[in-house]
Amino acid sequence: MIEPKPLFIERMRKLMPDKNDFAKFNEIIHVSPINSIRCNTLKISPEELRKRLEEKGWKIEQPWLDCPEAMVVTSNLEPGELGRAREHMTGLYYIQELSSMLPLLALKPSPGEIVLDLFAAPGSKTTQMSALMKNEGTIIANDNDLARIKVLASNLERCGCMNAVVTRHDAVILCEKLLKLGIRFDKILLDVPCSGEGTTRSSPKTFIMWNVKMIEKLGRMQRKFISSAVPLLKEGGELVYSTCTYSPEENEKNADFIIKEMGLEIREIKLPLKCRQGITEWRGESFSEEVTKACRIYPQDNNTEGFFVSKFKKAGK
Amino acid sequence: MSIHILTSNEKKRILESLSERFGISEIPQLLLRFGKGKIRGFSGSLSRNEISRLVRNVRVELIGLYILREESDAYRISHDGLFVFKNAEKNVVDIPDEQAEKWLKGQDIETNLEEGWVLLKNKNDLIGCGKVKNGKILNFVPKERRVF
Repeated sequence: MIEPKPLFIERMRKLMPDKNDFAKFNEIIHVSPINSIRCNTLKISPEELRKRLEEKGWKIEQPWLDCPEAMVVTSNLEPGELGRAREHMTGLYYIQELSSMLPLLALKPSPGEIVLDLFAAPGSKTTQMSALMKNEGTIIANDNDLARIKVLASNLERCGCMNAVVTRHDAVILCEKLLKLGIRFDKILLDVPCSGEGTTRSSPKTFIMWNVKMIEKLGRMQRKFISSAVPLLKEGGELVYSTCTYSPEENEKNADFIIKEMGLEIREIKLPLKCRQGITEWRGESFSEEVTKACRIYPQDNNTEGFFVSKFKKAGK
Repeated sequence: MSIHILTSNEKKRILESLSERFGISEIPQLLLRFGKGKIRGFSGSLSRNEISRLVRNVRVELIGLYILREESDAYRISHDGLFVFKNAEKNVVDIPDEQAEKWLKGQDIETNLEEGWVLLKNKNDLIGCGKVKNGKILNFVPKERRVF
């Protein structure tokens, strides 16, 4: 078992001052995550998929009433069985952690809209976006790395996504180019590269790579991405900023930056699981009271991985 | 990579070929040719002009879904493009589970059908587009989509 570094523990204790709460957190981060999938509604309805999987002998639960696409496979599967299944290979479902489905449930892209997914690979959220948009409207799905783009492309193909344009650029450069071209977006997803503290259940090696300097560096980089992306929003357009990490330097500090420096209004979001509100103070730094509208998702609350989701609106319309 | 947006005449020729072989009556998507012989369908809202402008100014890797391949004698429907053509009416062959399993593993399957291109159906799923030749349906399931 890989143990987290003492400074990580110290920081998490600050975020979870209640001893029992922290004990539950510290226990669950060493437990493998549950098997969750998202029904690809471009190809099959949740009812049909559930029926098909149950006919194979799998036990399926749909934890969220308002989002029947989200499913948990509760039966014991062989290693790799979820990925090898015919239903997966033919794009009827996507293997996706429940908390990773949340940014799109907050963004709510609609058919006909033009949406920017600035860090799209490997494609879990882009394929979810395409399904919510019923393959109508346009997604500009970007990533900077060719190997990651190949994975993204493969997932888009498998899931039958036909409304995406895949681009390969550094995020800041792409934003500059799109700005010059006069392309503006109804919605933007900024699911930014982050320190990944919330993914330790599926990727315990994150504990090894973790260090606080990296967090500070990532925070600065994320603010650069935010500054580049916000001018691309249409008036009245909406932006979701999300990470799979707990560090306030990458979360509330950036939400505060979006409110104060970018002039966007933070919005309440309703998510189908237990969320905790964003914090307003961290290590001597204060953030706008408004950042309490952001959602922190902790693994011990819902048996998921950890996540941070916040939603903003540009004035107008 | 060269990207060419197909003209209405080019699209019409493709549709005629697909209609004759598979009874496919429409392709609502915009069609684009990527490189040699790969045709992709784009259902998005960008116009031809907007796509051209984007391609000129931004490094575009892909647009839409790879749905067709220009073969020497026909247009082959790609594995991931099958769901777009689920209303195909002609030369659709129902195969039993045992053969479907073989097909999805990437193996050719024995047949006594006449030579030519066919679509394979198992239960309600279109699972492949293959070429009948010498008593076999030749398999085109890409390696990364094979089910083991």
